[in-house]
Amino acid sequence: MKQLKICMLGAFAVGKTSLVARFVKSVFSEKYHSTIGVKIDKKQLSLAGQDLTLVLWDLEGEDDLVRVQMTYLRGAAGYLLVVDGTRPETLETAVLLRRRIETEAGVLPFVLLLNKYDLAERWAINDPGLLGLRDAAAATLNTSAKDGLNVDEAFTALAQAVVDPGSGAAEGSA
Amino acid sequence: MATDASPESGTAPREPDAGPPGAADVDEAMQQLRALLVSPAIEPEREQVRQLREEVRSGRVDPQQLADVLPDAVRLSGAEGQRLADALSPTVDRAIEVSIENNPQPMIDAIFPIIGPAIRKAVSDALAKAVSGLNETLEHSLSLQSVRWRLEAKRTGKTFAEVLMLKTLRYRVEQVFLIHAETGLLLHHVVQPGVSARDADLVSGMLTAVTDFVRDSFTTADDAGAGLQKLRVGGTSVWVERGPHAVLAAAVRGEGPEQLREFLEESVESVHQRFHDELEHFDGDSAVFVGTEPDLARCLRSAQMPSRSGGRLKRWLVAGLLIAGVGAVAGLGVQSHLRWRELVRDLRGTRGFMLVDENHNWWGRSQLTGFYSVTAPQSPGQIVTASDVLESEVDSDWRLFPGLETRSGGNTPAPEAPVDVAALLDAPEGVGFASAAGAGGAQHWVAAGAARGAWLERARQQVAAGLGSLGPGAVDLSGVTDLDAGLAAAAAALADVVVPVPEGVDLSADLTRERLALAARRAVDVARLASKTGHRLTLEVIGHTDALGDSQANQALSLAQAVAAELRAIRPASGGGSWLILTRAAGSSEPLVVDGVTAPEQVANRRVTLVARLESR
Repeated sequence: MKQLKICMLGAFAVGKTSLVARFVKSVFSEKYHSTIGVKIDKKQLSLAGQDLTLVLWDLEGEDDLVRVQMTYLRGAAGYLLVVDGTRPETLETAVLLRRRIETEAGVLPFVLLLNKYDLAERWAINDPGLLGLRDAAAATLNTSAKDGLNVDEAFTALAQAVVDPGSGAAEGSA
Repeated sequence: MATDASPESGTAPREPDAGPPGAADVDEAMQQLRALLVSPAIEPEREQVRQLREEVRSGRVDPQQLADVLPDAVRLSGAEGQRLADALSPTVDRAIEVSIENNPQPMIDAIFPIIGPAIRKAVSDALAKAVSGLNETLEHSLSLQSVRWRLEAKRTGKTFAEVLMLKTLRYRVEQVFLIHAETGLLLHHVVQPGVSARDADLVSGMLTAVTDFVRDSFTTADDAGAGLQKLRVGGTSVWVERGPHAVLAAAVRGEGPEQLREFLEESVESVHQRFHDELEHFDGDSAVFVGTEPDLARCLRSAQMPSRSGGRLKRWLVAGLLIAGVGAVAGLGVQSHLRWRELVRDLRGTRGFMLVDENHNWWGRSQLTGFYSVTAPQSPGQIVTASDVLESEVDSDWRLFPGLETRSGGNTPAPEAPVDVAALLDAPEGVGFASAAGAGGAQHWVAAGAARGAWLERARQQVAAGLGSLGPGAVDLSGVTDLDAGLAAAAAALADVVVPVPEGVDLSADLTRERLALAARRAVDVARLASKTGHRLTLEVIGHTDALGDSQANQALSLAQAVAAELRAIRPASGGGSWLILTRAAGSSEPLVVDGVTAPEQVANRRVTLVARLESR
């Protein structure tokens, strides 16, 4: 069975861990985030008849005080870049993160997730270009860890982008 | 072509100078030659000839042709000698240098599987030599612990077997993970039967994350290529062995030996050797790494604590044999002593014998000393022979009673004692009486042996006053030694001995040795008599020094202690001849030479004296 190392990245409290928790049944405690900055989960899925194991490295959220350890991206097949749709500053963090990843770890396929879509009334991101991320992303999806909206689709889209880079970007909708 | 030279043709071959052929023949041959030279049909052959001529002239070689012949050419050249190797050597050396200068990693990866075993073999050879002869034995008591373990099993709800296994397990490798170094993805995983393991994919990822975390947080630039080698929590540790592309992690319960590291090294090297390409081009598909199972499984090792029962059994056996041996020897000794007491009783109960001294030696020859009368029913030798004591183990000193020797030859039986003189005098053990012919035929007894002074005094008075029906002076007590007087004399003789120590605490001077030996002999005499008279002997060893220099008391004490050590060495281990030793420093307060002021005059003051302190028991 083919395995893929997938990283979850984004600003602090954008809902990365909640998305993973929605997607998989976590084994390890959340405390690993605060101790070593990463928690690992896995999810098996089938993509066009091929069985895959996604090993998810849920990295500690980036903020003013904490910088994501780029070493954790070593060997990653792709990543999910998560933004909190109610906090525009998390989009800027995502842009910076992507830039650092491409500098330090190389260009990797990623899927952009605009999370917390269940709070649509507080939605604060209206930039259609999403600061250039939309074009670069293999897919851009509105997600809700709370409702389960597009969660499975997000991981599947990334797996698809990794396994078959020519498949083209998918576009999610609310 | 035109001629046929075979003899079978029937025509003789044409000789070269046999004359010109016919004109028709020449024409035909010319026709054929012309056809050959100008015919378009042979144009391809002519082209080939031209190409070959061109190639030969230019010296160029077709790469494809060279590739075809090169392997064979190299093989042939190698078989003929080392000219090719000599020719290639500088170029190959240079090529390797350039390759390493440009990028050393491929070379490191290539030699990794080779260099590990080579180093390990050298190290293990050296270690084997160094530790040869060292025998490690770890033994524990079982009985008490087994009770404790049973209690623990009850308390924790585990079976006793489980507790026993965990407690007696020195170490056990419970799981082995083969992890892709770059991605942290699990390549393969093996686990001991019965061990519950968490999701190996996740553990593999977390291990990699932890390693990255430690490396990023604590290592310096110099250690950039290094990784975590060991994690330890309580009784469990994770041993990590890294290769260029894969990492082997072994979860070990207990104290794994250092040899375990060698197994991990060998396994990681073997995996790199056998799956080099698959590791280098790993794309997430771990199916192929099922083939690493034997390499991983060989690391699933365990070792029990050495069994204690064997050691205990051996100790008990040795102890048992020792006890049996000591018991047998002691039994023989006791038996020998009982036989001796019986012989002594026989000698004392037989008329005509007076046993003066007897000394039973448990392990050597025993002594009998006494007098006997010619009227005795048996000779002393006959009595010893008749007893269970071996005659050859007894030194006997038997003499005829004093005054009877001259008469013993006449075989005249002496009159028998009608009265028991010993009883009348309440004679102690060690004093014997024999009847002898007195003046004018009166009954007369001769006493011999040794006795306490008080008894002797009283006995003399009794004899002088007349003993029972006997007249005064009927018993001659002059042959009885006064033990108390002897003890006093021996003690005085001991006190007379001066052991000179002219220099330091050196007892090796001739005179010093001689005096020491004399003092020891006299101390033994005193001890023997003290034992017989019921005294406890304490030897006081007194050190004296000269008046020169400081620390006289210390010097004197040192002398006394040196001599005391010598006396302790000769002191009988137990029994009647024993003594206690006390040391005392007299300093320079009891000088022998009072007038001398120079060192040579004062030297006589450096000495050791002994005093016997006697105390009634």
